[in-house]
Order: sequence, then C-alpha cells, then structure tokens
Amino acid sequence: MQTAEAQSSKAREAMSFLILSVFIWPVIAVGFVAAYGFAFWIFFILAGPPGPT
Amino acid sequence: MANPPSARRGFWARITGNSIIRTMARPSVHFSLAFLTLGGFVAGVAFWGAFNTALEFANTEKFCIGCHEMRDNVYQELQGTIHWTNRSGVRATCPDCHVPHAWTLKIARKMAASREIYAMLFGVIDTREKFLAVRPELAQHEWDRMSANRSTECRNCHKPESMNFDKQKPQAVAAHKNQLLTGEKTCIDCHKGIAHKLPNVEELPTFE
Repeated sequence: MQTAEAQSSKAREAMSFLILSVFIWPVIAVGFVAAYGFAFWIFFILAGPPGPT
Repeated sequence: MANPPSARRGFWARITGNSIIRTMARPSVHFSLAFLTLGGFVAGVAFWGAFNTALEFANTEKFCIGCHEMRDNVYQELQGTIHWTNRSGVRATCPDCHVPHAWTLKIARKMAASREIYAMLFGVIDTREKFLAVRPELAQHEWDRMSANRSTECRNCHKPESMNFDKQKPQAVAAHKNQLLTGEKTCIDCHKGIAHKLPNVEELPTFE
C-alpha cells in the first residue's frame, strides 16, 4: 500500500522524467548544435571560407 | 506545501522551491536506474533519428525551392543545363553543390541560412529585378567559397583520376593536364556559369 504522499511524489518523478527526456534535453542538444554551427559560421566570416575537405 | 509561494521570495528561490525542479535535481525514489537509463536511451535514439530526418529534409530540393526566390530564379536556370538532364540520367540537386557534405561545415551552412530566412521574411530578393541586382554579389560568394575549398562539391562526383582523356576534346585535355592535374587550378576557376546563368561581368565586384 502506498500513501497518498508517495503516490504524488511518484507522479512528480514521472512527470519530471518526461519533461526532461522529451523537452529539456532535446532543446539543449539542438541548442548546442546550433551554437556549434554559428560558431563555425562566425569563424569563417572572420577567417575566410574553409579549405577542401 | 511548507513554503507557500510568496511575492517576497526572489526569482531564484521560486525556481529552486518549485517541486518539479526539486524532483529533477534529486535521485529518483520510485524509478530504478535501469528504467531511467533505458528511458534516456530510447529518447536519445528517437531524438537522433528525428534530428537526422529533419536535417535531411532541409537538404532536399523540395525544401530549397519552397521559397520563390530560389524556385523562380536559380532553379529555373538549372533546368537548361547538363546538371539537370543528360544521357546518363544522373543529376545534381541544389544541396549537392551548395551545401557542404562534411558534418561540421553542413551545420555551419545551415546556421548561415538564418540570413536567407531573414531575406525571405523581409523580401530582400522578392522580385526578379532585386535578384538580378544582387546576382553578381551572390555568385561571387559561391565562387569564393568553391575556390577556397578547391571545388570540393564538384569533386564529390567528378574525379580527375577517373577522367578518360580519350573522350575529351583536345582543348579540354590540355587544360585538365596542365592546370587541373598540376593543382594549379580547380574546377570552378574555369567552369563558372555552368549550372546557372552568369552575371554581367561588368557588375562583378572583381571587375576592373
């Protein structure tokens, strides 16, 4: 038997897990990739276009 | 419940006092590590798939000609060239030449496209006249880029070592042997205006 307090803390943990895994971490990941791309773009504006790859 | 929200509490205290935020910062009481790592793993796989799908969609011709600036100008001109139709049926799409294939450079190009989104939103090139006015500048951007990377995007398909000089005209053989194979020049140095019309030379920034 779970107490009402334990049940509500379980719901809170499940909600936290969902918010983190489907929203917060994906947004942070996309943000890092975007920042990485912007950093290279700005670098190429200053240093000239990149050489052969 | 012990700390009812109060207008006197600071912003940070309200954030850290939030029960969801506090739950996120603490070890789980109800879920096992196995379940949580599995959840993170599954979410990570889904994210990676969605990310690459979105990235690939942004690398399709359909996406490129989604704005009329591309569809009505450069895309129309491509259709008269050998990169559109030829006897072997292999064709180049916009991103094959205009988006670097290396991951880092591709992401950098995608971010640089924020400038194109700005131009689209504010109608910087929304008429043929405006396009023709900036064409020399835009063409020069691409020529500079391809000169610097030694025509990397051309060479993704065209390999000098696979060229059969017996099937080229004598003039082309001479140019390729003396300038391409020696590394003196790369594709774009001679082959400008092969997929889109050339700007008026007098309007080029480099014209003197």
